[in-house]
Amino acid sequence: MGSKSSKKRAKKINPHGKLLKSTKRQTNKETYFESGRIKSLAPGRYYIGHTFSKKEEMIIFITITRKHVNGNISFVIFGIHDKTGWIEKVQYDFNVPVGILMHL
Amino acid sequence: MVDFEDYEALEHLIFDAEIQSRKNGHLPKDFWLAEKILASDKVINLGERHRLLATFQSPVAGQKVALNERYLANHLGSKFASYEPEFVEKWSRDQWEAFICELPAGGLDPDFSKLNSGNLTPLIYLFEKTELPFLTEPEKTTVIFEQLSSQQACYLSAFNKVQIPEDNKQSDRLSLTPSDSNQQPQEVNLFDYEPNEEEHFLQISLDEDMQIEKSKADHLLIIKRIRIAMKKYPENPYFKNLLYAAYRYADEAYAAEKVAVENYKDFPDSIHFTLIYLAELEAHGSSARLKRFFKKGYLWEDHFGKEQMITGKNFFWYYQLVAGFFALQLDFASFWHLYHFLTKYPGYKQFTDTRAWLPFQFLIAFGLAQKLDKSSKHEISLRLDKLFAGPHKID
Repeated sequence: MGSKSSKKRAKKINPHGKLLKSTKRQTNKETYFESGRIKSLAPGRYYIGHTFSKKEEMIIFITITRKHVNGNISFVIFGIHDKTGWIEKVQYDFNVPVGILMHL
Repeated sequence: MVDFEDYEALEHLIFDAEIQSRKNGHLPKDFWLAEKILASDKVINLGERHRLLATFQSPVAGQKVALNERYLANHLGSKFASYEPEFVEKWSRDQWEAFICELPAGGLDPDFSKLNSGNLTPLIYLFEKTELPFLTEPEKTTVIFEQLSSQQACYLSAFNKVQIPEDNKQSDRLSLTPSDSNQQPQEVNLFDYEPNEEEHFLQISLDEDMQIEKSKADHLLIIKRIRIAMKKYPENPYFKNLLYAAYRYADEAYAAEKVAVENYKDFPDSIHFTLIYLAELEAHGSSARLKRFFKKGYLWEDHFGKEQMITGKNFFWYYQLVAGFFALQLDFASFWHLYHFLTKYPGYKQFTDTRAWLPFQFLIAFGLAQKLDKSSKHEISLRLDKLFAGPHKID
């Protein structure tokens, strides 16, 4: 349902197929996760790391990955405040090379 | 960023963070991704201790609480937002909406100490919209147990914050006083039994050895020693209690349950054995047996005379008992009677946290009473008024 309606919306805005690449990719990755197909992928590695905010508060980053058959990964990163436990940030992408994690 | 092999610990960290964020209305809009990518979307280890990775985490795994809150938010969340002037006639729409904004996304805050009489009306409203349908449909009893278990995880988490002196940690005879650092835990007797000197030292020796030993073989050896002591002193309930604990240490859940049942049958008047029995029934999800237990009735007051009754974990389990009793029987009169009795209990006032649990449970009773017997509403309001005497008054 969600994916169909978002496609329709996209067509209305750009009837000649002139969608910007980034917008299209954003829609694709959202629908991919929404569809639940990610669960059918084999679990990948889990990573943990941390950084400090401007107020010198520790934010823990947890990265959860799933492996695609082509060797790429899909991932979600959760940024969690060490003291309050609040989830500060969620970042995700699908079907990207593993190396991309090094640049985040 | 490093590769981390303890996947379960990481997932628990996310679940714990979800609870904190939901509670504070700080859940990012993209959090739904967690549901899609996390491996353990089914409950696996409720209440089991897990590896802690962040400062904010509690030693008790919050996975089940998180899943329960997620369920509430997904299925019932929208109902909270509707304004019904007939029910909340003393509230303007703005007041109502302001109140809703203050509520956490998942519904009621498990920190019931924040309750005050000003929140009663909307809380009852929320109760009627969410929990009452479950309570009034017998076939949904299992859901009640799910909810109770979820609450239990919150309370146990609160208990884990209580400072317990290291050397007394093992003793079940402790009086744990939540949120009262000035008060030292006091030794109380579990049973009305006076052991002789030899029995006493044997008890202490077995108890201490049980704490020290690590391997299963050692625990099985202790079980043998306890059984020998039981033959020598068949009347001594402490050895029976130790036997149960030893089986727990040896990770022999089935045998522990069996001992719990036997102890309960041998000492039906012992509140300690009754509570252990109930905890076992609940742990094994034996809702049919729990139902039978509650239906049989219980001479509650007989146990309140004993000082050891309302202390720490015993109080907690007793609270569970009352909650379960009420949830299954839907008998407001008996619940009110119990509630009244609990609040009048001399040792009751020192339990700052637990005092807040009962009003919450009372809210359920109040909500239900409105359904069952409208004439009692006024009387209950008056009693509530006294109970929550403060700046806010109930209309």
